[in-house]
Amino acid sequence: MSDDQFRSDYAHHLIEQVTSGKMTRRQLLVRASVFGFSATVAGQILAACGGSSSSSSSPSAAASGSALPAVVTGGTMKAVIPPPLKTLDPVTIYDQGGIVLVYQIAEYLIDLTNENALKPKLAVSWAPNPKGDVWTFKLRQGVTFNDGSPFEAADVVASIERVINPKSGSGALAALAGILSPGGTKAVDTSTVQFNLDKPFADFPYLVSASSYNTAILPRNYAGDFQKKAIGTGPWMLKSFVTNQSAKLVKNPTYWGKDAQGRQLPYLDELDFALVTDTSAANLQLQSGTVDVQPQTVFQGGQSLLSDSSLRVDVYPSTGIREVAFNVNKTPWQSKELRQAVAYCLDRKAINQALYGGRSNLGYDTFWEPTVFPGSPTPPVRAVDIAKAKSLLATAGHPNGIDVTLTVANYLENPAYAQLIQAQCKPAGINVKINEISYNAIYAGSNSTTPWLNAPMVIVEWGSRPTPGVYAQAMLLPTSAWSSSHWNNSAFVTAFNQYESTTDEATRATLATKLSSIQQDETPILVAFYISQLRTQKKNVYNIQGPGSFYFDTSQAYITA
Amino acid sequence: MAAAGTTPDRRLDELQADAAAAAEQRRQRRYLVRSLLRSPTFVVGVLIVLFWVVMGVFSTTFTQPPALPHPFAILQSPSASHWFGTDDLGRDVFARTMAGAHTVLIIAPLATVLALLWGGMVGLTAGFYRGLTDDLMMRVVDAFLALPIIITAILIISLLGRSYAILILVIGALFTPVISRTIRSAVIGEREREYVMAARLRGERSAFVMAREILPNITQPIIVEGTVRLGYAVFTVATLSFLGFGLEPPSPDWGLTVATERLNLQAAPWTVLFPALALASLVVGVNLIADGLSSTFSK
Repeated sequence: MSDDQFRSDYAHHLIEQVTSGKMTRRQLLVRASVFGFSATVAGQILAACGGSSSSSSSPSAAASGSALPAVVTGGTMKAVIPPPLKTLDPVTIYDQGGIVLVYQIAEYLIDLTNENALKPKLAVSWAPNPKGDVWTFKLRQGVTFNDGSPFEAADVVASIERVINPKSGSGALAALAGILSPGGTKAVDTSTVQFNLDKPFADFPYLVSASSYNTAILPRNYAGDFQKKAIGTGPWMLKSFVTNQSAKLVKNPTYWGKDAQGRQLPYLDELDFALVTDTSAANLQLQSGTVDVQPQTVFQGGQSLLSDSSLRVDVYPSTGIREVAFNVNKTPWQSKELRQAVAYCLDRKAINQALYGGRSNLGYDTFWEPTVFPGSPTPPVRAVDIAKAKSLLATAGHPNGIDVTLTVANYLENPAYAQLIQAQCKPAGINVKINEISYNAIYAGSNSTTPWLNAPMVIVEWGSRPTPGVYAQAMLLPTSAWSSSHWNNSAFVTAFNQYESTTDEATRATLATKLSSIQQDETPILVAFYISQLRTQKKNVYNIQGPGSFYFDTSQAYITA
Repeated sequence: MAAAGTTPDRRLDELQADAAAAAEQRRQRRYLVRSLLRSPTFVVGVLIVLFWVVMGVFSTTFTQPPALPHPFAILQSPSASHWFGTDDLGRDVFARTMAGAHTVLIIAPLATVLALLWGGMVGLTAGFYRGLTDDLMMRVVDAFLALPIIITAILIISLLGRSYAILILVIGALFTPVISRTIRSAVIGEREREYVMAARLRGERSAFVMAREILPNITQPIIVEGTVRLGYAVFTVATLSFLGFGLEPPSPDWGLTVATERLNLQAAPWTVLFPALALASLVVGVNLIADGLSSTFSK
């Protein structure tokens, strides 16, 4: 079967899934984007299902009214973000500050829409072979890096090979390990790249999209000096960078992007970032008018922003989580019943209320949650059940209760979450001692010593991931580089490999139900909620795109008088 | 016969002299107590500290549990049901503020007592022996005095971990040098006095002279120094907690509370205001006691 035939069959398959009620229209758009259908084609497929082909609007647009004011070009937008925790390098960044800055200067093959669907960026189209283990990407032509050198397939090959080299120290390895090996990326010609995977992987495009933030496309001769010579194909160029203070960016005059009317992007002339660690200081800068926008607002401490009439707070239903991992290699967490006991102690609604004002989506310890990943099977609700928790505790051999230690970084709302877990576990006889350490300390050390991968019980913050498969690939497999639970379940691994190797949506749905069931029953980690991200801006700031958090697309942003 | 007749008389004289000295001491003590009770500074200080001691010990018997979250009642402003409002987890700020005294009033006094013990030994030894012993000990003390207290405490706590015992030991150790200097100065002033000479002529051992002769005569500067250090200890505990090197959540410790709740300063200022006021009032109370003692002793 040819690739075109395969895509045609897949389009018909999607239509059948929607018309038979097995897939939502939103899910169709997302799945169509994974297989490289353009927005126009996806709309046509949706139209074939009957009804409107429109998708939901962005929170920004929705919040500011259906009609945006006329575009104003020029001017400077000021934003406040935390400072990058390491030297600014797309290959190794892992924190919000670093990712937001790199996102302005460098670009990815694929970007994310506000709904977490894929949209073309440096790749204009992509498609798998029928087996799903070879993906071919067509690249955008006429694009240059901001030093004038042309963007070609060789740059993509070099960029991807660079991050999957274990010596690079790149976090992209966590997602790509076992899927794409060194040498697997080939330039077919100057505008075509082929990825030869180790195994079929239906969600592969996500792994080379902006959601895999270390896969930014850099020149083939990139020397690792991004902070001094920030190079990329993006709309902005780095004018100055003062560690822990500021970053000033100016528009890239040769940027390839144009808006629907053919106007050159970006609209703004400059983008200034204040690098502020302290959340309350950052909030004050926003309220005092010193800055125009805060890409990610933390609810705890940010309540005053919600009621500020000069500001607009957009809510993005992201898939970010605070993972509570039980290290199954360490006592006492080998016991499944003990892990389940903790899960039944949690009052998830109360946690959501305290930490996010009730704005987040509840989770029930599985990644296949229909509220955040449409089309996922609905898992059994885990309500608070202290009697059941006590019974499980007794089954686990601790009828008189147990003392455990929860390691947590003094970062974001994590300490508050730890205190809620502590208070909610107490009635069942699970006495949680909180070991609060600094953000740097929890990620310090090698993989065999770092607290976040080795503590018996630990809270780890995860940014938004676009599919359940990407989450599972990163943390629930024996090969996962970021597995804090060290869980190794052969039934789960087998089902997961089948799930990612098939493009048949009905089979995927069946396997998703199985995976979800295994994950929830085994409870290697707690997923009590999927965080809704807040982005706060002045009311005269318009058209920032991206699904919240570090996806901060300013190429079409503008400020009115 | 003369010798036999003199001995009982001399014994009687000595007994009378001892009795007179004891009476004089009692009179001086009564005078001191009366002076202190007439000192408004001292009395106000004692009342403030006493209030926090009572709250630290008994508050949990009549307030809500200070660590119990109420997620559906977060950041509520002060009201009849929550006199000081609620914090970011819906906990009662009044209960936490009152309970916060408990931790600081355990750690700070014990650390101060420890510093007085260690500082007393160093100061007594150096001031009593003088010479090379004094030089060596004081150079070591000088070296320790050059260390910034908070930064050194953070380094040690980073290595040893956080607990009540470690906080007490660290703060006690870091306050030892300054106390030893004060006590050494007092000892130097006493060591040449006649009662010390007399004890030495009687052949008393040095340890006896230091402990039984000199120490009782330098209690006043020790008490004043101890009280001043107690105020600093309270503040040091709070500072370390504020910086994340003191107690761990969900402790209602004031420094920790100010650190965690400062994010809510704009939306819910009461979450920071009351613990901060509590901390300030305790430090002021301890300092008023120190001022009262100092001015009374110097009369």
